[in-house]
Amino acid sequence: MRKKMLILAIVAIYCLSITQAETPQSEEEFSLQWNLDFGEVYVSTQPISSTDAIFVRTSSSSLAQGIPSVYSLDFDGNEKWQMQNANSTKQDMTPLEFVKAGNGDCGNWPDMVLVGWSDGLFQALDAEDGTVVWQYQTEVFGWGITGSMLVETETVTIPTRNGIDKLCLNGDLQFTENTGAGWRNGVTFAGQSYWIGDESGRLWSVNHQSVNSHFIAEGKIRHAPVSLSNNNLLIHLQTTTGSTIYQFNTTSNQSTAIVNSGYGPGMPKLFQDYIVTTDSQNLMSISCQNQCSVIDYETFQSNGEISNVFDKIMLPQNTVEGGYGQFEISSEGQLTPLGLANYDDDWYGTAGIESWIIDDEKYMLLVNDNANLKLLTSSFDISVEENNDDTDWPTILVMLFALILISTTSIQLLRERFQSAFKFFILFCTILLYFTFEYIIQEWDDLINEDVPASEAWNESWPEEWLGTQVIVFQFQDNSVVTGGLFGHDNVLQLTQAAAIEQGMDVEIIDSSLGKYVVSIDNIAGEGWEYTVNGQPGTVSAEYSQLESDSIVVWKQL
Amino acid sequence: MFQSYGIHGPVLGPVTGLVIDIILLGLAFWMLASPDMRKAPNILTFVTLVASISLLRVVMAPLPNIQPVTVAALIVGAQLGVRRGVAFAVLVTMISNFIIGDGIWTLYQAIGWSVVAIIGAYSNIIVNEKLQLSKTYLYSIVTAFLFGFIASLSVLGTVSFSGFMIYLLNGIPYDLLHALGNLTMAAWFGTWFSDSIAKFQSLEEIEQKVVDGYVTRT
Repeated sequence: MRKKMLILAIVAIYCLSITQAETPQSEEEFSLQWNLDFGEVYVSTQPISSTDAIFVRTSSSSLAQGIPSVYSLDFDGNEKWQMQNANSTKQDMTPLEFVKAGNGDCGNWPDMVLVGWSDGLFQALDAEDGTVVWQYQTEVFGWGITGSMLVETETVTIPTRNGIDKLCLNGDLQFTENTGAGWRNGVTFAGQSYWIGDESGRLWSVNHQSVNSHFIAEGKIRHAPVSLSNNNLLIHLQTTTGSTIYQFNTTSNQSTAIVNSGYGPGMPKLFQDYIVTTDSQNLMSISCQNQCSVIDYETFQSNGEISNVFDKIMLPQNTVEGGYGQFEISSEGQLTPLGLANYDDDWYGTAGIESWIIDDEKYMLLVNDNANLKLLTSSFDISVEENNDDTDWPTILVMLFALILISTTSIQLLRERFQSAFKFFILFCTILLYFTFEYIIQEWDDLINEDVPASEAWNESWPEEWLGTQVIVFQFQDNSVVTGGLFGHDNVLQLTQAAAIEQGMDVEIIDSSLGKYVVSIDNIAGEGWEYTVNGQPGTVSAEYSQLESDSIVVWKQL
Repeated sequence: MFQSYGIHGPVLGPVTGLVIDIILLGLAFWMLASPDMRKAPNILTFVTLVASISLLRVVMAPLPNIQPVTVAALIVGAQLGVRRGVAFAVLVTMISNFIIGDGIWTLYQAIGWSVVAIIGAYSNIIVNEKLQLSKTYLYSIVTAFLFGFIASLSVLGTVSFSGFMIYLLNGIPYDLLHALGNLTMAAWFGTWFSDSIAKFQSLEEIEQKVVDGYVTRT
């Protein structure tokens, strides 16, 4: 009887695990219409759509990878036009904006796509053919425009490298004001002022009469402040130990810390009555009806844009496995995970998801950092869940094997065969540790290695515009090659590869049991290469060594 | 300090590598230079052991810090004694590192596994020709951390003392995985491996006794 019960229990657990694995990952049934690969470039911003076209921007830090461009595509994925900017090689992070044709005090303008480039150029392109309707050059200190612009009825307000420029939609300048140096710092309008953050943790208010700054805390504000009711603002401040979410009262100019969270905050987004924030640790819902407070959170890693996709939260998972997380937010602010949509070419992702409806047909545009753009529609019967067949089998097999091991352990224990039970148990533990090892190493690394500020490793001879960016040095025996002004690289290996491409060098990497290792840089192996991050010796594989947005990495040839 | 290539210290230049190889090989052959190792079956048994464990280490190299050599060295040391245990440890390290990757760490790994073999020889984990599993488990865990420490000594000279301590701390998850791997090896294959060596040993002893008896009679 006991044996039968055990067998029944094992079968039940097995069936449960398979059932869970086959749970549909989305309530909607979407099918892939086409998938475009733009090559060795990146896409870090949400594609946008008009009634008859899709617009997507690619970025690159090296022309060898590809020329930074804006593309217009039809709904079949065919290119309508392309606008290139070979000077914009500092990673373009400014989301595109589509503006309907109009006229007013500012004159007339056609349907336009507004583009801010990292070389400081701001262009209004004719949405129909990509020709330049007008353009405007902003100030450049190392880089130019990297934050999100604010489009109002007849104007656009641009976050420049060092301030705010407000232009009519016909290109006439209304005002230009200096603020602190910023990066990926978008503009918001609240309480009769424009608000923008900087790389020193200051929030700036700009209007026709005055420019004022308000110190929030040590850190970097890398998103457009979220405008709340009663003119308050929400800020997700990036700090050296993670991030902190603040509420800022625009009347009293006082800021209040709400909660600490993970590294690399993304762009907070207003969702119904709640603000949704994201970082490397959590997706959070925050209510700010009176005093802001956290309502709910879910563990998820995303560091870019959050999208409202048919009333669901959708955002890219910024890990090597990639995929797109989907969450439901209830009227009480509770978050419910709906699953992860996976595809064969998944990779790190930071760009939001564009979605729209035409004739009751739902459209969705997904893109990852590797510039793989997909259009999905709801018109066919093939469901997203079928992607499970491509992605989940290894996990299911490992789970099944682990289940068999732990079940056998239990059976042997009940049969009082302790030696045999131990054999199965220890094998289970080893497998468990093996499959979680990468995470354990990273957590352990975070726990025992002290975070040293980048200023400790800063070299005064480097250009000032590299401050606050990722810098990497290749120290050969007879010379050094320094690359700075890099952004958005999550680990030492990624940064190394990006810098090597920019310098036209080869990096030879091998897989080892302890992670990926750099064998040679620029075809020089010497007696090995070792790295430091902010002056601290690397203690794990370069692949697992996480970076801050201003980390300084030095590779030294032995 | 963690290396881009090779975990435990710089890759060696050709001359330094050659010197270390000669020292290690010399040590191995000196350890093997005993009367009973002049007999073909003994040599064959030993070569089989070295070759199979080296191959196993190479095959298991993709698994992070799962080291079949540690438990093998422990049991070989216990079954065959210090000299052959040390020779086994040195030869397995050299042969497998020739494929996995050679460097200054070969020297420290060889020392580490030699120490494990010596511990095996003095550990009394074999009583009445039977492997004592509980004791073996204990030694499997201890030797994993001991081996990790000895192998880590290869970075001395390239880092400060505090840097070395940080290096050791960073190695704890790896040592933990090594210990778990050792336990798994010992639990699943320990008895079989020990009995297999003992069987060879017994045959050799019988053969030796027969030869000794023949010599005595004549």
